[in-house]
Amino acid sequence: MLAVKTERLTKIYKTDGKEIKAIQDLNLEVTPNQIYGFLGPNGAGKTTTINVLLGLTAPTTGTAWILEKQIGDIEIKQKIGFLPQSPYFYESFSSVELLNFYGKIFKIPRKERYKKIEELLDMVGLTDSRKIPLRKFSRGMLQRIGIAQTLINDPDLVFFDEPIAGLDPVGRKEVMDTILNIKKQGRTVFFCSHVLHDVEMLCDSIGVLDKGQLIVSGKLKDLLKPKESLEEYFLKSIEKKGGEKA
Amino acid sequence: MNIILTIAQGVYQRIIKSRILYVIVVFCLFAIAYSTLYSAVTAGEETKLMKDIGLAGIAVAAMLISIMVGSTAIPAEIESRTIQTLISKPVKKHEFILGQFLGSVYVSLLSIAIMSVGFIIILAIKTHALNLIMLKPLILICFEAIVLVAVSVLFSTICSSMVSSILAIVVYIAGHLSYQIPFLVERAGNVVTKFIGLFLYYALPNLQYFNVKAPAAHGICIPWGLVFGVILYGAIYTAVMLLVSLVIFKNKDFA
Repeated sequence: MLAVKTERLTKIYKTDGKEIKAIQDLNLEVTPNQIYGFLGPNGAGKTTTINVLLGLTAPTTGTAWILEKQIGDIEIKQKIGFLPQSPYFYESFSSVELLNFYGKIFKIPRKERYKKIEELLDMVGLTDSRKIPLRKFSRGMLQRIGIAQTLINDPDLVFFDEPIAGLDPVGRKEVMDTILNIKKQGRTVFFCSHVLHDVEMLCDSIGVLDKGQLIVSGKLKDLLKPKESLEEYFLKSIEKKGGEKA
Repeated sequence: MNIILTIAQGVYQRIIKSRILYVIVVFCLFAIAYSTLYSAVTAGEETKLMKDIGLAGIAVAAMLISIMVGSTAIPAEIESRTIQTLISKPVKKHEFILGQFLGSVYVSLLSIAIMSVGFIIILAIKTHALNLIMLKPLILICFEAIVLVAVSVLFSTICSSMVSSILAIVVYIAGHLSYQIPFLVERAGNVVTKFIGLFLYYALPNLQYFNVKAPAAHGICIPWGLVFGVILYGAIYTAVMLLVSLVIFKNKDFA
């Protein structure tokens, strides 16, 4: 079984009469129970890919499957979690209210829901801030409550879009530990980032996207030569692709 | 239905925490209370004047609240990108729209209920009687508010909250004047003018149907048959507005 599969997935945006190919013939295969790093420079199409997979925008051509079900099937969403880039939540809600709201969306029974909320708040270290409105949260705290909401439904697959961007070192460490913890629970993490050092520490496999096209995909240990860093490999891959095009 | 109600409850929770709603409700209650002082210096017609001012105040506040909540609920979700997280969960687009609509309606009706209770109490103190005759105009104010929320929600699926509010206010004003369109159409010589006139007559809500404030203030009994007829009209108009909203929203991207 594959956690994520795409087949010739293409998304074209039309702005001011111009066509912009955000993703182009993307063929992707992500096996379960791992952290998959989806990398690429800014504007490579990482977020667009996630948005298409989650049904936030329709693909222009091609299709995709999540947990063996074709995108667009509402049942998939019962089994996935999503943390968007720069997550925005209802500012007037407290952590408990937010998690309760999303728990109700998943129709989790009340008793089970509140038990789960306590577990999640404990996991992300926000138990003491449970009643504080989210508008008073720091960026790191927002990121942590964002991660908590992705897990309210016990998902098999979690999408994180740039979860570490903009965090201080302590915040980054906390978020990375949480992501590793999620993997230990047997879930698949689809992790979108351009902070390569952190990706190298977290991910089992990677896919590198450049100008909407997948240029590299595979297990990190197979792709990197001894003593080669992901950053070196990444830059080499992008340059190589640029050279091929020229 | 569960998801729709959860989204509606979320809308209610968010709006109820914003202070602007309280300002409008308190302002209206203050206006009703003030009208009692004003009526004290108007010999003879105190009660009628008080009823007039009270009902008009509630109707205007209901209009403002309905348009405000109906126009802002969806754009707020889109502009703050909270919709991305919500739509990534098992929420269908029609559930999202209906949830936003129901939440907005709930807030509007709650505000009207608070103002109405205040109005009935003040009126009871003044007249030493329970003026249940006022219930019918108040019920129709509620249904006018529901229609206005639906109109605002429709506009908000296309425009920003500011533009939606302005358009909804235009519809409110035009809706109270639309009953005059057939007379104007009769006099119009041009076929195009006639067509536009008739189109507007049927497209705009005839909000004058909901306006029974004057006869109620004069103590004229409004038949329940009329009230139910107007409620049915409001329900059908609301359903059409929501259906159009759903069609527009179905093809929207949230990326």
